[in-house]
Formats: sequence, structure tokens, C-alpha cells
Amino acid sequence: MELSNPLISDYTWANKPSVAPLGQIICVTDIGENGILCRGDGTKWVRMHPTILYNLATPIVLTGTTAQTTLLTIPIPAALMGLIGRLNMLSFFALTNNANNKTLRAAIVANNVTTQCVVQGAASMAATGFNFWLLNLNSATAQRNNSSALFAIDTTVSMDLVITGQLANASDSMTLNTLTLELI
Amino acid sequence: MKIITATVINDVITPTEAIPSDAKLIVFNGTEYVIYEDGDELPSFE
Repeated sequence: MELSNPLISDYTWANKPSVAPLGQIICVTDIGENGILCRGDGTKWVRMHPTILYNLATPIVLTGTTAQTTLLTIPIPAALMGLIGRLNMLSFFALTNNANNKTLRAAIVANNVTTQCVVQGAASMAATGFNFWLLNLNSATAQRNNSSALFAIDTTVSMDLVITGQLANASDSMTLNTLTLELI
Repeated sequence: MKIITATVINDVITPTEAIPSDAKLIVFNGTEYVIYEDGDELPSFE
């Protein structure tokens, strides 16, 4: 039996139709492992299910500086979060196990404005998880995170999730070993 | 092995080009991003 559905057309997120008829379903091929389904609500395309936006496959090491340093930048397409979308970031760092502080930061950069979403300090530990979520509050421009902090990030424009590290002692190191970013 | 230079933007050290996602290891050594690829000897950190 031939598997095909001529009613569902393929698009990229950037070139999807500007009109989104209510009930129409499309496949967006450049998001997730092998595309996602979106359904028109009459004005815009809305994700029908969660997806994985990014999985880190390469360890990233920071050493040799005490300056705040970018470890990873993950693009998030404009308006993909929708009104009730939630970004979930789960990561794991290996650290030099001493009393010197190590600072991990996650920030959203949208419209060239950086909004710091979470900061975590770490000392006297060999490893730490570093996780956060950011939830749109029935609005594409109002959020709350897992620390209950409120934000006003415009998620209708393309954004970057930027992970940075900072060492108190340049002889130490931190290694971002794993990271996954889900959009629920 | 590939080198990606760094610049400072808003007091944050940032790579001057996108970091590849298919490397074996990436190290910022205080000066530059060193991209280790298949066949490169990998450094160790603790």
C-alpha cells in the first residue's frame, strides 16, 4: 500500500503559507527530528505536539578565562512557542571540584535584547544539572520561569537561547556535557 | 582541528562564527574556540 497524504503539504517554518485556514494541517519539515505538524487556527499556524529543538552531541569546555563566555547558542524560530508553549532546557555540567565559584547562565536574546532567565552558581561539586523552563502565559509576550520570575520576551520574533559559563579562577574548567531543549 | 576566533559583545566572549554541531569536542581556552574533529587527539580536563 502506498503511504501518502496529499492533503498535508510540506513547508519550512520560514516559507509556510501566510494564511492559516482553520483546520488546515501542514508539515513543517525543518523543525524537530523529522518535521512537525501544525494546524491553522484561522490566522496562524499552531504546533500540534511537543518537539525537540536541540540536542547537544558535542561536549563544550570552558577554561583559561574568568570572563563570561558563550558556550552554546540555539536559535528558536519566531512564533514557534505559540501562546501556551513552554521551553524546557535540561543540561549537565562537569566541573573542577573545588571551592571556586562557577556560574552558569541561560538567557534569551530577542530583538537584540538579552533577557537573563536563570543563573546558577556551583562550587565544591564535580558536576551539576542546570535546568529551566520558560512558559508563555496565554500570550506570546508574557512568560514565567521555573523560579516564578516574570518576563516580557517577544516570542513572535526569532530568538536565541544563549548558554554562558563563567569561572572565578581561570585555571578551573567547566564542561557542558549534555543539553536538550524541548518545546512543549 | 579548526580554530574559531572570539570577540567580546556586551562583555560576553562570543564566537565570531557558528560553532559546528558535528565536532568531537569544543574547547574555549581563554583565547579562541578550538574545534576537535575526527582523528584529533583530545585533551583531558578535570
